[in-house]
Amino acid sequence: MKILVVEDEILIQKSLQIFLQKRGAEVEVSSNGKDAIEMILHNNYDRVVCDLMLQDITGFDVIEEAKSKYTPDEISELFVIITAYSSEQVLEKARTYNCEVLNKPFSDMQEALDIMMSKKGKK
Amino acid sequence: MENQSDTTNKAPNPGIGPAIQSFKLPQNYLKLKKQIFDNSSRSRGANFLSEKSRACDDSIEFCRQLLNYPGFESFRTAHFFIHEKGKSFATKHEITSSSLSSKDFHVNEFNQLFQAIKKSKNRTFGQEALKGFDFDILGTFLAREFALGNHNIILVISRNDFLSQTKTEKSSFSELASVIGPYFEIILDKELQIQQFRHIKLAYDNLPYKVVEVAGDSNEHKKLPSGKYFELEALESLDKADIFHQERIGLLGELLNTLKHELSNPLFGLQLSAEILCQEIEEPESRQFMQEIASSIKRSQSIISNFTEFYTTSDSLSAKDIEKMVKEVFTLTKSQSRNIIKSFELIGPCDENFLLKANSVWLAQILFNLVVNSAQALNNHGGAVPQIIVKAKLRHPFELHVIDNGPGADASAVEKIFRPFYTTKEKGTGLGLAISQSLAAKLGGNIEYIAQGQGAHFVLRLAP
Repeated sequence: MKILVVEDEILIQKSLQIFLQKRGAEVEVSSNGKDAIEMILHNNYDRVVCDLMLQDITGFDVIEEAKSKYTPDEISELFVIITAYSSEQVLEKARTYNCEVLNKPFSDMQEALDIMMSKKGKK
Repeated sequence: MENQSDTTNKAPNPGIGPAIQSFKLPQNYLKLKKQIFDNSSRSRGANFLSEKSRACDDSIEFCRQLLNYPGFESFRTAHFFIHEKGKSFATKHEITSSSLSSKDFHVNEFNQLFQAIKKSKNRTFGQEALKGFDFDILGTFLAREFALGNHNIILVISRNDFLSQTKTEKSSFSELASVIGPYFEIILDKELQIQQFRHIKLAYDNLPYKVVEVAGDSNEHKKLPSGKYFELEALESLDKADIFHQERIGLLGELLNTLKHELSNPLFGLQLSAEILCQEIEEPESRQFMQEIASSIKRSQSIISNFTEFYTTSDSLSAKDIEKMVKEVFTLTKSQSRNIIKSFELIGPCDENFLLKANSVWLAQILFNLVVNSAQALNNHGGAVPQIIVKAKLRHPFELHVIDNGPGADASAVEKIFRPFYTTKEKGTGLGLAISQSLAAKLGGNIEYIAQGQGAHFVLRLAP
């Protein structure tokens, strides 16, 4: 499984990479939104684990750009949003993309990894 | 005749109470009064002006009323130019019976016009007189300049046409102009006092306390300039102090939230990488070290999460919630109470299903205030082993006690400690207990001070 982790907090980025690699996934990383968009458009990932608060743009912006390549259904399958925000506003917007949303810090690490690596249908 | 001007002595708004000083008369009042009195027997203009200066509260309205002077029927607009001595600008007001337009302009221009009018002999002016000035006066006009105590004024009344003034009109204007000086003084002074009064009233209205006049004792009470004594009485619901207080809590809550967000990401990163290293490191000592690090990180995360929960409102508290709240208050007051032994005890058996219907933030605030007060008293006058005990009765009716072994409150001061602004601390606001008492009232209870051998003992009681 090919996964892209988009997260600007380096320790989180590297740790998630290691955790996912231990589970057998092939993991690439990006620290900012613009690079992530390039990578998504040029490569074919099975999953993109994307933080909302990035240095340059937001995770939502990344998803919007990905729409030029993927259908809404594919988008909802492709992205797993991770975020420290728990505000209703943010959650509502995430829901409009119909993808998985995980709150940082993860209350259950194993469950979080399961969601990142599973086929959608866990909704 | 004399009593016509006496009405400037009455406070315009007696509703604010005797505590507010009444109007002062202008300083040169006697001189003005004499001038007015001398004039009034000479002209009907003076009668008119007396009535108008009584009726109007500001100079603009006064000028507007001048347009009603008998003989001025053709004059539609009054131009009132005023310069307060010392200022670099003057203001011109264009006044009709239904409109006002005002503009500031440079004092040099004002002075030029002032001098031009002063020098002119026959005092009627056409448009040529205005050449070189940036003033918009339509039609022919009559003008007079006045040099007053603090101000220089130019009064212009104009017609909306270009006909010349009649002889009657000119003499009416002359008559008015010859007596109007002192009335301008009075009306300007009145205007200033009304403004000042409004500012003071606004300040009083926004005090969260009612100003109450009392018989007074110069040792205990403050005296107003008017010679009366006053006391501040807490409003029943202490609404305004509460608002400031609640605002501060709101701000604090926001601050904590921001802090939580900023710290949560780095801490999560630390947590994850610590977990990985715990798994990867084989050497036992290093591995153990890593585990300590991981556990420290978990503790940091839980401190942050607890702090922010503290400021999230909830309306009902279980026994556990209350115990948690006490522990959090102890943590929050750590910096004030390092050497103080703090403990939490239950009074009697605890009802398992105990549920306190109360605003958790207010309850926390009261507890926080009482504990901080104890800590500060102990820090300043502590004995050998300073101690604060918080006791809770977790059955209805609910009781929360805060007891310390510090100096306690003086017997004579006991009834005063809940009063606003009463404090024995050098830098105290004297508001903590007053606000706490009002929060307690809002919760449907009250705080009582129990005099005991040594130390302070406060108890919050809430009705079930």
